[in-house]
Amino acid sequence: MSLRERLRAMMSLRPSHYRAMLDELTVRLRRTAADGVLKPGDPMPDFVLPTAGGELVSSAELLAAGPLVAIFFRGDWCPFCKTTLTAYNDIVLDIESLGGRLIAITPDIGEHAVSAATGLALRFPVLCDVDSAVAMQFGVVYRLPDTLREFYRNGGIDLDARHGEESGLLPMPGLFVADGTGIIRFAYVSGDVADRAEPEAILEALRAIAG
Amino acid sequence: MELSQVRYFTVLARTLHFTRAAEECAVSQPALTRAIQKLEEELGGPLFHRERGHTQLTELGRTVRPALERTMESVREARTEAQAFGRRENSPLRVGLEYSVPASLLTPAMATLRRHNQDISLTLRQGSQTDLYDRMLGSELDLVLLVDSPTLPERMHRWPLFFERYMVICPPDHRFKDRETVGVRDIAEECLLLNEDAACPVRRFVGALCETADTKPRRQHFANNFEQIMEMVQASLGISLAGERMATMAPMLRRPIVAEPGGRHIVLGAVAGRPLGPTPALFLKMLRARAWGLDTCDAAAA
Repeated sequence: MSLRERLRAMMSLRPSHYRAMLDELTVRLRRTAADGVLKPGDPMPDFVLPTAGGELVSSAELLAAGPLVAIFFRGDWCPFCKTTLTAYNDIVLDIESLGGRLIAITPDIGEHAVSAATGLALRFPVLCDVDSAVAMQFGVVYRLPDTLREFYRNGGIDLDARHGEESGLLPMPGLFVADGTGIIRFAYVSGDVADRAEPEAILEALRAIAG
Repeated sequence: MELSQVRYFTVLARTLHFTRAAEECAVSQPALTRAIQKLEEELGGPLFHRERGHTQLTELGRTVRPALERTMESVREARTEAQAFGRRENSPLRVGLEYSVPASLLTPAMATLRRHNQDISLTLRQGSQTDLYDRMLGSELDLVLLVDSPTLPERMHRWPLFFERYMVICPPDHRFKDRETVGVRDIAEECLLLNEDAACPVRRFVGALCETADTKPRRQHFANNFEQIMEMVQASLGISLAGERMATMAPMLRRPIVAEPGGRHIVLGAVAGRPLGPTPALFLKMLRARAWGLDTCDAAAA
């Protein structure tokens, strides 16, 4: 079963009023936010981000070693993100054998970012995008509507606490692949939380870069 | 949302004038208007009341303004951080630590910067909350680590880092060694060794604790730093208190205190709206991102 099929199946099990809120958000984001997302041919923004374990990861240092795959995800509170991260975790060795490196970027900080990395046994670093400053440069940031924010809060997901600030900004889940010169060669961003790039699409993009 | 939209919004929110905002952003007024309309569509409502010759923020506009201004500032900082990091440039890093907040909290982040060959130029200063805040306002300090308190000024932006318990620190053979916890009355029976500055948070905590229990410490000695206090504890002159992350050179007996609250929140502060140099900005990000629970009780175990 493809990743997309699995995510669709998961979505079909969610309560209908939650699905309706997400559908409305997807429609709005596709209409208003899609234009601002970085596209193939654009340079990947240069960034340095910390991990919750105290390391620093620099995009320039990673790109100096080859292509870079950067994933934006909402947090390990999101089951769609968890399934996606697990699927990408399964192809880390394939990515590396094509000369690429994989990193995941989330607005979650502290223990919340650690729990994603350790809970899913990720073999790639999880970087904390404090204040969503990097996601903003990739054009993937949106403000979560108050209705959804309230819905998550009632479900025990306190995004303000997870992010260490109260802006309510989240990244549209997505993925960018840049070649070793830092030019984006593949991008997949959808306002739909259950629509993610297939793992095979990442490998195809890396094969195309390898020529 | 697009970075340009956020920028136009922050400028328009400040000028409240479409023509002036467009001039400042170096775009045509129709382009600025379209960008704002698109942002409004994304955020789900108008951000500005547009009346003849009069522009005002709506409630939604007022709600999102602080977050978008902060994001814009963070993007600016992130760009300079990445550039400076690549060029191995550094700006001075001057950090204030309120009395009783250990400098060891900063060492993992400093070690990481060193590993990346960032030649940091560091100044640490210990002091009272008021002294550190004044120095930060006077641009002598970039960041401060403080014990959270209701008296912190509003102009200081603060980010909670972690909560820690207060511990009683005693010589290893002290009578508390067979106890799991210690109450306020037990503490009051001892000679207490405290910082001579009444603004020290540990001293404020002990004072409040005794006042609530309507008691007074039997005796007190004072010193002006933790090392001296620990020397006196080791010489069995009395007992002291510290946050549980405070390390001691010699082995000491540590016992948690039964009190409400029995601990304190440590916060990171910076002057709101004041841009930081690339090194302090990156350092702030590292401290905010850190999973503080991971290294809990390292100090206590030492």
